[in-house]
Amino acid sequence: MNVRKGTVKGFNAGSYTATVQVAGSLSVWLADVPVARNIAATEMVVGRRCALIFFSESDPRDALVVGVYT
Amino acid sequence: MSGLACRYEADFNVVVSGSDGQGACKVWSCIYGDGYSQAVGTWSPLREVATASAGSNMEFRAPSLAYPDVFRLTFVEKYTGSESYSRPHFSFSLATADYADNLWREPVPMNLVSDYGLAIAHSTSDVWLTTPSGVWQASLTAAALDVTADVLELTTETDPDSGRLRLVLRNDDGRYLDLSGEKAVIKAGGEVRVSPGYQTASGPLVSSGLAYWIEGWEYTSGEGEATLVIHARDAWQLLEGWRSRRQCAWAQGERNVFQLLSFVMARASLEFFSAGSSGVITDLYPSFTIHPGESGATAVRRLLAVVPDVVFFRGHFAYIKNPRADEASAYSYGTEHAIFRGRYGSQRPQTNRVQVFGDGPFVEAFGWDEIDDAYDRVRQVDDLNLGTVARARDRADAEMRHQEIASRSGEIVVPVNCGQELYDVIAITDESAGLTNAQRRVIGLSMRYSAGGKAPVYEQRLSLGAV
Repeated sequence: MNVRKGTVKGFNAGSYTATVQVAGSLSVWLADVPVARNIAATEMVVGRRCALIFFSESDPRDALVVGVYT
Repeated sequence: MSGLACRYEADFNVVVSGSDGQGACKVWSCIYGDGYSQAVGTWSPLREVATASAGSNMEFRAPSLAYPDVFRLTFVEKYTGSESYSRPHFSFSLATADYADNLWREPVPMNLVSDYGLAIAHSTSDVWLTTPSGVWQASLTAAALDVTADVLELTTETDPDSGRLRLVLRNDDGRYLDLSGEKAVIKAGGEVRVSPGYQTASGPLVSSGLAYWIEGWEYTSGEGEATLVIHARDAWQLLEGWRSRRQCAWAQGERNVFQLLSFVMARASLEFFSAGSSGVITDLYPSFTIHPGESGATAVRRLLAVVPDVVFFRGHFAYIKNPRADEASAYSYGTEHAIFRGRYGSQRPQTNRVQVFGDGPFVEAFGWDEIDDAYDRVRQVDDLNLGTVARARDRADAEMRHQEIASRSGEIVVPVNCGQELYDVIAITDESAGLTNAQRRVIGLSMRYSAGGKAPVYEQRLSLGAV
């Protein structure tokens, strides 16, 4: 398991997934990251910092945005 | 489209910079076919060389492409965020790769500001980079220095995921104090090639294949002796040195494990071939990511963890091999090739039962003999890429193979076998230890040469695993 921080770059309320800039990746975002349902859609504001858990260190589908802050 | 370059070499090989329909800025390679890799008069798909997401304030422009020895590419990376820059980057293809393979070294920034990039020109012996305000020239011939006559000691160590070299050169007359001129090749990153061999009736014969890259050096003095000691690491260090600058991600079904390994190896300038790989490596197309800051070595280890295969290096060539349990021995020790010393052991594997949880399927594998003797030791694997029972079974089998190979231990010390490689299967006859033609797999090797000291040494130590 791998915990990383990132920045919200986009949010799809239908699929409840986010596009995230993982810290350290200056120019490429990670798309379609599942977002925890306990985070209200209104909180997924572009530009906010977020915390991600990668349950599998290798599989980006097996990840979750677990918190947003700032 | 913000830039285009083309070089004819069997096909019309093209580099394009620009943005896609979603606004992502990219550098692509593509081919307008002349019958080599692409049918005459047809276009290949665009293949990504560099990428930046829409809104990242990053764009690419002004590519240039040439083929002085391999395909060499430059382009400008322009960043308009804080600390903005327009910085040329260079990259090159692998010597044995076709242009269509799209295998490029990680682009390297150049100490230069240029909005319009660099043009590449070359002759058969030299290459030039030009801007409107500057011209740079370099020879295409790599300088080399033969230090064989000055070697006092040499130690190499090769493990499954690392390799080291310690080379001691005589410096009693100060011949290596000035590392300029022909000795300028002794520098950080310089390649050291080692070719062990023997004096034979046919003259000196050597086996090439070992290569290391210099990490540092030191001068020693004392007791009437002065030396230059060079420390170098093998290709694993090149992989360790490559760190992903961005989030690399591939969707399930996009690339198989072999292609993913090829990508990572190429980013570190390493060629990649199969030396008898498993079917899984080309059948499994996992969802995979490399996080920013992660090393190529980490990515390779993760990919190897999902297949039964192993990787070894010959110089800057990486080979992947399936260490099959029925592999025949390639060489014998203890008969014509003497064994100086031997130590042979058995040890419990860390795991004798594997539980694999896929995206639905659940599969187990057991080492029953071991479980019968000493109960079970469970390892659990959870991988969403395993969508079928067959895939989960492949993974369980791979996990068990890694454990089986580690279930034996020991080592033999022998006169140097110049052709011995990691993961070879060997046969050992050592009557004192009760072994006759016993099969073992080489899972580590070291070589020691010393021309000084009380007694000269030229020997090899082989670490042993199960077949």
